Amino acid sequence: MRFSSKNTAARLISAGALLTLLVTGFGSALAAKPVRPHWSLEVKGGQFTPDIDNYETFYGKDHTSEFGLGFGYKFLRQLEVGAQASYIEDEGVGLLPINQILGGEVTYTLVPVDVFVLFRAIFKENQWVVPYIGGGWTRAYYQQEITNQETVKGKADGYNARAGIQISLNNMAPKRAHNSDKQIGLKQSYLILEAKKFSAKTNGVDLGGTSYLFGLLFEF
Amino acid sequence: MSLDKITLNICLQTVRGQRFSLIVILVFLTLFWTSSVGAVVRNVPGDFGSIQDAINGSDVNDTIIVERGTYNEVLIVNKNGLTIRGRETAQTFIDPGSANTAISIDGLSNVTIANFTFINAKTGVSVSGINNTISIENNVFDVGTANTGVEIVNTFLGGIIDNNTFHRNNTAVLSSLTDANIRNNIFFGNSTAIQTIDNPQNVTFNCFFGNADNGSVGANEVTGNPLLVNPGARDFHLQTNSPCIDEGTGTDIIDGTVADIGAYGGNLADKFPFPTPQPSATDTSPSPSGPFSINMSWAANTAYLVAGYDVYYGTAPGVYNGADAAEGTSPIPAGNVTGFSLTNLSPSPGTPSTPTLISVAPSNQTLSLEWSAAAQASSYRVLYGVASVNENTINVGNVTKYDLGGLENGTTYLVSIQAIAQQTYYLATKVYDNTGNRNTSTFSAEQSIAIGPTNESALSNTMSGLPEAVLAFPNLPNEGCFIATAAYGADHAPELTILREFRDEVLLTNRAGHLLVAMYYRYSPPVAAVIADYPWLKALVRALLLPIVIVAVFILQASTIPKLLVTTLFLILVWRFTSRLIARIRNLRRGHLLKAT
Repeated sequence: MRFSSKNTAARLISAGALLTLLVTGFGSALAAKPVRPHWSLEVKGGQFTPDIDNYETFYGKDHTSEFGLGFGYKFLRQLEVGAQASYIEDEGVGLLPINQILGGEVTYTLVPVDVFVLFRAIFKENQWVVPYIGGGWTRAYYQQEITNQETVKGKADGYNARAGIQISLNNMAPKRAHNSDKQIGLKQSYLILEAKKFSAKTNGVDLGGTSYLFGLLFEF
Repeated sequence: MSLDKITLNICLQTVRGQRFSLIVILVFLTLFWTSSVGAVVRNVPGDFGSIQDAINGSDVNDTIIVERGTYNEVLIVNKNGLTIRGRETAQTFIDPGSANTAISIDGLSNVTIANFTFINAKTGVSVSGINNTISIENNVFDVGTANTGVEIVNTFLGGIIDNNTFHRNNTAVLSSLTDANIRNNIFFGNSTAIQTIDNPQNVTFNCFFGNADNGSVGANEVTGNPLLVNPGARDFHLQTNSPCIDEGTGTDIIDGTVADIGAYGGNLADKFPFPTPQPSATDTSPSPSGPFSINMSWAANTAYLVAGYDVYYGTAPGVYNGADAAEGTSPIPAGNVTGFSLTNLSPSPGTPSTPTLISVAPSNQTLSLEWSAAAQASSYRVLYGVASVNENTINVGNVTKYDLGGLENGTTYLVSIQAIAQQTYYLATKVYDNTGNRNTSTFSAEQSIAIGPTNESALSNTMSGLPEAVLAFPNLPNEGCFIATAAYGADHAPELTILREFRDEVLLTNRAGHLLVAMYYRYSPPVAAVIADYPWLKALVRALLLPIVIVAVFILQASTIPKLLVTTLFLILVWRFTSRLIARIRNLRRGHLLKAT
């Protein structure tokens, strides 16, 4: 499972790099006047596959959904620091050790908060595809709500790594981009495709896993 | 008349040929049959599954009667002469969804739309194109505060918008290029009542109340509160003293008097009063051995034509053929009251079959039970114990699933189920009016109550279950009461449960408490680690925690008066202690000063 996730991430990065090489030379002449915004906001969602053996036995499938919200500051167009919080939830059963059966109702919630540094392969402002790679520190807050029982809560620290591509929406609709800039100060918009991996261990359990996320990035 | 003349001429011209005459007679009969077919009454859902199917399947001049219910349809009328009526305005809803128009009529003539309640629509009825004699009568338009009741977007010759109630719409009637008569309508709480009208002289006898803008009020208008019975429950009948009673033009079909204003007046008005809500019922039998009685009560229907209520009862759902009450056989005319007692009932319970216990699923201090329904059972009893199922019993009502809680983890319990049969009475009311016809409403929602002696089934099969705490996956540490957990050793110690309850129910309900808990979670892990390393510290910390546990128990369990008393006592002690301390400090300072001098 983990092996294939790495493969997918590698493929995504390779595809992104290739696309960049192909399209950077064809930046749209119609694009709005280049701007270099610093602040960014990103909204994304996708699939999270935990790095826990037997997860499927308790939660019915080996993955669940993830939703994330992040913001960042770009010192340079190639260098960004940011933070992101994600929300991951799944419902399943627990173990009754004496009875040796699965039972009860468990709602498992995970909120990883990432602080990261990103390196973006951007060479001109109207570049169509911007590959990026980065990583940083993660604190994962967890909660296990168990019917008729006390809720288990806690946190664990670890690291995160991410890579992906940002596809410029400004190049797709330059007029609309120009209007957005005038009306609400939205300088650049991107579609994001991202593979993320985080690890945060507690009690010998790694809460982390691999996420495949899709979303929007807005630069102000 | 003209058909007869044509037939006569043809007959005169063909008097020589008998065969030809026969053909002419057949043509005549065909024409007659065709014209008769045009007056067919279609029923929804009796003849057609939907109103639109009925419109499509009808011929010119047909009538479509739509039975009570809610119809989520977007309707397009495509034939001249159609009459589309609901069975009862108050209970025949058209809900096309807030983005859609409920009924569209384009370039037709002689179409009647009557006795519907339009809800949740962008537009209730939209009339476009050149139309003649379109009638919109005795409807309620409650389509939403952003939406339009009736929209007329082109010529509307000889149209009628009569006896409708427009309640809380954005625009009740939006019209242009129209000479329609707009009469006997109530406009209540709309943003705009009538917007853009070419012939305001045709707007007469309408009631305007609570609209932000009445628009064209026309002549003979009524401007007082129409005193609708319960607009929130969509009961738009008029209450006694309503200024809209007998103030319209024309005649009321219900009582033959001058027409009321609103959806329940005029020639096409409902003859059905609005039913009461579900009545309540209580067992008022003086002893378990009888005599047996039930007291019913219900909310009054305050419509001005209501004269009283009929009480229905029986021993099967929806079958109100009861005959055992001293007050008489169902239905019983109860008069204009809101309560009624059925006395000297003779409940005779059946013998329930034995249920089968299907599953016993353990979890923390709980066994989740499921069993099969038993014939004739009106409720069930759970029997359970450690050595025998007869140790404890719980009556759980008429359910087939139950979570048996409060059990001790790690103990095996035996469980069985018993079915109980008791006579159930099913009750309802109808409202009747004071007209000569004694028109009645539909039934209220049904109420049921089980009374009288019981019969018990044999015990079901016995199953066992061992409740235990569920171990969530993955197995993660609970960063709860760190110091306390370390001091008490076990995570399930009762003191920990109390402290956690105290945290969740008292401390985390206020800002100061939040701060305290946050500080505790921040600084206690290292302390907890030390306690874990030095077991002799556990007893000391437990002793220190004891007063906190006692205070927590007191705050969680005690009622208000003891809490007040103890708090007062505590404040007095604090005050006395503080004042003595201050006095002692003063004395010390005075002594010190005296020494110095």
